[in-house]
Amino acid sequence: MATVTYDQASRIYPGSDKPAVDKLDLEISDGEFMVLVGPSGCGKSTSLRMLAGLEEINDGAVRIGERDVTHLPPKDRDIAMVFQNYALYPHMTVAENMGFALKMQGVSKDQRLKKVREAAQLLGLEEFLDRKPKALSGGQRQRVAMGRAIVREPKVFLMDEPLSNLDAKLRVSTRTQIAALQRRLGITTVYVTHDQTEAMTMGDRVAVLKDGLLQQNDTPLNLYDKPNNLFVAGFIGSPAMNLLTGKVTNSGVDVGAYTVPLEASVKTKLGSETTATIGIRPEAFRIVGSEENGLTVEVAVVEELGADAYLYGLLNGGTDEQKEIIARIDARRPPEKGAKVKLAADPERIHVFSTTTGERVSG
Amino acid sequence: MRKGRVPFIITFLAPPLLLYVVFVLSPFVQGIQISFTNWTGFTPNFDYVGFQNYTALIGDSAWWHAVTNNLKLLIVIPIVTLALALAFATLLTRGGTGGTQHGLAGQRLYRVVYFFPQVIPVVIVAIMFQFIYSTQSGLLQQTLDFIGIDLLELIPNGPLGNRDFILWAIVIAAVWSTVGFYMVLFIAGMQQIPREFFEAAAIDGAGRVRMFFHLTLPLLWGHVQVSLVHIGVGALDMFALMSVMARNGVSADYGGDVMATQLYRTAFALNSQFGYASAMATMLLGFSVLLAVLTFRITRRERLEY
Repeated sequence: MATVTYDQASRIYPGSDKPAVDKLDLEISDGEFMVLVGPSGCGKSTSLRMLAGLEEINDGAVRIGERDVTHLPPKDRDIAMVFQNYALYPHMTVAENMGFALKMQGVSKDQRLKKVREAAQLLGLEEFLDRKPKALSGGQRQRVAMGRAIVREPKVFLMDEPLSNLDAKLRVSTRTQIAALQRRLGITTVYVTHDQTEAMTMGDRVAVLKDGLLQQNDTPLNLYDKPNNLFVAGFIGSPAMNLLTGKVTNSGVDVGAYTVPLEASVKTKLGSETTATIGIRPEAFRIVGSEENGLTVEVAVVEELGADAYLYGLLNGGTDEQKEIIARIDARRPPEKGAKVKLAADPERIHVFSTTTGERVSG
Repeated sequence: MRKGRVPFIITFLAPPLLLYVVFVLSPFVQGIQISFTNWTGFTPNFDYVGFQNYTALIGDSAWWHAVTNNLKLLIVIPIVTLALALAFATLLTRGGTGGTQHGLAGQRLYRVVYFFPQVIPVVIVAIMFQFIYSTQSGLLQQTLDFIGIDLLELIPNGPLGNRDFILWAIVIAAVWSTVGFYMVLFIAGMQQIPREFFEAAAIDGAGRVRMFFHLTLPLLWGHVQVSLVHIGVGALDMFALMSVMARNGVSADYGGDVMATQLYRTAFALNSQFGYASAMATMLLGFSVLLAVLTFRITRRERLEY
């Protein structure tokens, strides 16, 4: 077990000027489950492969524990990796696949068998030990890939979208299993995904990346409650946060007819900017009376999910006229399609961002 | 669609089938038939002699000398050629610096250079190597002279004139001319193996050598198997190289004699014993079939999916 440190680590692919990962600074503490999340091409997989030693580090350093591993080959880093398509060796049985790393370490056959059996028991794979990967289902293959990583008791687990080849239902159950297993084994884990739900549900901490740059790195709840910038605000949370641009006035920000009051400190931070972007989560909205201060929205669709209902509407008025607005509403009293409703949010649940820099300005 | 199927199939199947029967199958059958006669090949008359040709053949020490030579070739040529081809292919695909995933710098050029001998006709290769091995200032002799070694002292009568060396001198030519083809075949096979396997193996702690034996070779086994049969059948033949470089097998006191050259001499030179030569050909056919069956039996493994 060990900590993992990215120290200004950069990766520039040959033939490109723009770094795929740009001066990444990230500290992962011992036993922590860290999720790297972002849209495709954001550098999350590259970051993981830099830690694995599969990708060269052009600048900066990567450390595992106290050891600088920047220029060490993968085999000397004491890590285990679960690949997206599992990369199970097709000519070896499940037991041979799981014991391969130990075999390479020169562990005796008896010892190997014992460890493989232990891991197989943990993952419910005992009856499949003599099978070849092609005779396994997707979920079983996924567990073998996990088993292969567990058997060698590495300092760090690396997982590169290990759930993306599973069907939706299995993905949800496997994700809790992986999270529980990681807590139990207490091995530092770096997990890459493009799915923000996976990131939020599994990680102790989540690092959001975009265009090779670290956007924010915090606990899932802090990311949700205090996104650093517009990108994180829009990326984390499902359905996504409503982001609306408004005019800065003396009394606050005007989005159409809706005046969002601003605290004095926020106002000072905005300085001379004439516009600001406000962010409101769907669940922060409530339907208010037609004469009250709020956004006028024309209802397009109401998605009824039983426990909740989501209202998808088009905004009336303001600079973002016709923009889609999503609000969580009372499932038992949904408004009719085509009706006009007024939505407002508690001032303390409203996020304010600078329109020009995208940075958060509210506290 | 269903209605037009039979004529459709016949249209495409009949011409090649006809050609195959007339020019491949019927000579085989005729050859076997002739092997039971005493036909000379030039007279219209011949008698059936039963298994007489075969019993004579079994007692013929010259024939078994040729068979032994073929067996030596059968063991040495596939092993040397395939080992070299695998080594070159691995070098060109994974031998580069900067991790185990990159090929050697300039691999495109090497690929062309190594494949080049394959496009030279075998007879040209044979003549070229005759020049190289020549004891009248051949390339080999001059090179050895340069470093102070006398070729004729090292190998009396030169590589192609020495009973103990002629076979191996020709093996070198055979390997040189075919190794590039198998290298390209193996490179194509290696490029089909997903790179994740190698990445996983690198993380699991395998170095280049163990990666080759635990991953590349097992995953490439289908290619190796086909190559073994192909190259093995070639080693049973070797007619073209032997007929030029060992003058139909008679050079160096029959040191380079193989089944094909002996049967050629028997059929067309030595009083033209066509029936006896046909018995040889039939036996050679038997060996070839046996070889193919054995190779597939011994090397059979289940199909891999990746």
